[in-house]
Amino acid sequence: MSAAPVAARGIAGQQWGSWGPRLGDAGLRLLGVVAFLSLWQAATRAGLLGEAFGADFGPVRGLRALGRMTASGVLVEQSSASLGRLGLGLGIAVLIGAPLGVLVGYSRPLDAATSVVFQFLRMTSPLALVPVALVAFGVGSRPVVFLVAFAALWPVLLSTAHGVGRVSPIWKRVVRGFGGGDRAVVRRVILPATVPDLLQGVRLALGVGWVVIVPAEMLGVDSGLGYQILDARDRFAYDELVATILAIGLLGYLTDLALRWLKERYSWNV
Amino acid sequence: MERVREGSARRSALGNEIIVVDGAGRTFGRGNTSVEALAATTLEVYEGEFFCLVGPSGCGKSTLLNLIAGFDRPDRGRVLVQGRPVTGPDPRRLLVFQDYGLLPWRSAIGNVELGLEIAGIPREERRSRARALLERMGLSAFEDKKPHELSGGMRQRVNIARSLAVDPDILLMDEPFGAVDALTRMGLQADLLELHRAGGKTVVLVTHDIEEAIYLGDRVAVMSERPGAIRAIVNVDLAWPRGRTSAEFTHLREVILEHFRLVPERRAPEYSI
Ligand SMILES: Nc1ncnc2c1ncn2[C@@H]1O[C@H](COP(=O)(O)OP(=O)(O)O)[C@@H](O)[C@H]1O
Ligand SMILES: [Mg+2]
Repeated sequence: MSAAPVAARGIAGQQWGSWGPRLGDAGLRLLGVVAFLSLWQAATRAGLLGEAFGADFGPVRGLRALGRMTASGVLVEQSSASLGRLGLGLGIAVLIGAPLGVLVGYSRPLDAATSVVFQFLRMTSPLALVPVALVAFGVGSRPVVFLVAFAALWPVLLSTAHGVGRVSPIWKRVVRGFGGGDRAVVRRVILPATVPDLLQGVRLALGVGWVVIVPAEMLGVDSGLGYQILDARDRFAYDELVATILAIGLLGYLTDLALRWLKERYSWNV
Repeated sequence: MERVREGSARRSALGNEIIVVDGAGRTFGRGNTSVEALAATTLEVYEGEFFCLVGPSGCGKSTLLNLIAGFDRPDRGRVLVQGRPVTGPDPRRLLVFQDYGLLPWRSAIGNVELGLEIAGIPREERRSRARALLERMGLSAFEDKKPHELSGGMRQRVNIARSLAVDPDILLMDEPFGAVDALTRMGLQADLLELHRAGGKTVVLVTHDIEEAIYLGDRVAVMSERPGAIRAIVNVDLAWPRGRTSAEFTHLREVILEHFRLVPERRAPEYSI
């Protein structure tokens, strides 16, 4: 048990080769970002994205626009609109998906009865449901939230169901042996045991949520980062368009980082 | 059922019957796939006694312990604890699980606090009681470690500390030291003995290690092969500390082994059908 961390460090050290000690992880990450931005800039300079507006699609102008839009407050406004819908959609997905996942994880018959339908729905692109969402929920934030929730539901549900499978019956017996009832079993065993898998599901859901929310916000809403992209296009403000794309990527990265941290915090090993 | 030197003197020295198993049996499944795990079994365990059960693997030891713990019901006979029929688990008679049953997301001290949480003990008191027990188990330095960071012996110490935290009258231990190495096991046995002699608790310990049973037990019940039944109960009238190599110890081993030797002879005709 004491040898494991040492061995892990040894392997990590080998992986990085001689670069590791000199640059460190943070340095290498920064290097990767700089290299990516340089390549991108070079590509737009070379006219790979078209001669006419090519330079506007480059990261240099995009970053400049990002600074401007942040200073003017427009980016904060649009980002909070998107984050609000995303959070609401994910929240609904967790509220429905987590209990359903627990049920499916526990009941073999229910699992068998639902597995085909769930896999089918999971593979259905939420964007195919746009017309349905618009007819059902009208114009505004509600269809956007619906589409995010729909996309996010399946990873949350399936991941939670998987987590339930990791719950040892012995832990439940321990709690019952101490006189605990169903509530104690849920609170002290099932919840803490499945939370890491639930959070992993939310992480996956966040990924698809970002993928879905941008196009969804291009339909019938007048706020959010998806709307911002269309708006920038209509104004031929291509540098702002790039800035919005950068903002989406950045927010996606940061929200995922937060969830990853949360997941690590609650994860456990046998 | 044969009883070896079952003294009435011992009975009065040990007090009243705290556990009465009265013709209790258990069969799993139905029809021709059913398994009779435990034949009708009768035994009494006295208050404050250290009672050991030995028997071959699969003979129904865990089944019997589960009946006493209240995790399972007999389909014949009855099980009484402190005069009342067992209807379910109760923290006053705790089953100490063989593979520890520690919650992997909780630290050692968090695990020890589990039963106290369920009992609704306030946080401060929980902490101090758990801390005291971990100290008694020699685990003070490890209270913040997760189970996967502990050795098998340490995990079992945490498990025992967790059980003792709720101050049960009866500890039911199912092969508690089966998964640790021989030296660690001897250490754990000595600690358990000390706890028992200090605490006045009744212990029922299941093991397939005859030496462990003689080292620890006031009495040792020998179970036959499946379907299990009590074949004999052997009194261990040895003074402490018990040397594992003394003549009396070796003699008792012989006596118990003798009971096991009867098993294949009796069963032999059934196999030839
Ligand atoms: N829940 C169960 N369902 C079916 N068979 C069982 C169950 N529990 C135990 N058995 C069977 O009963 C017999 C006795 O089991 P057990 O009490 O665990 O034995 P031991 O603890 O002495 O090794 C074994 O043959 C086992 O396979
Ligand atoms: Mg067993």
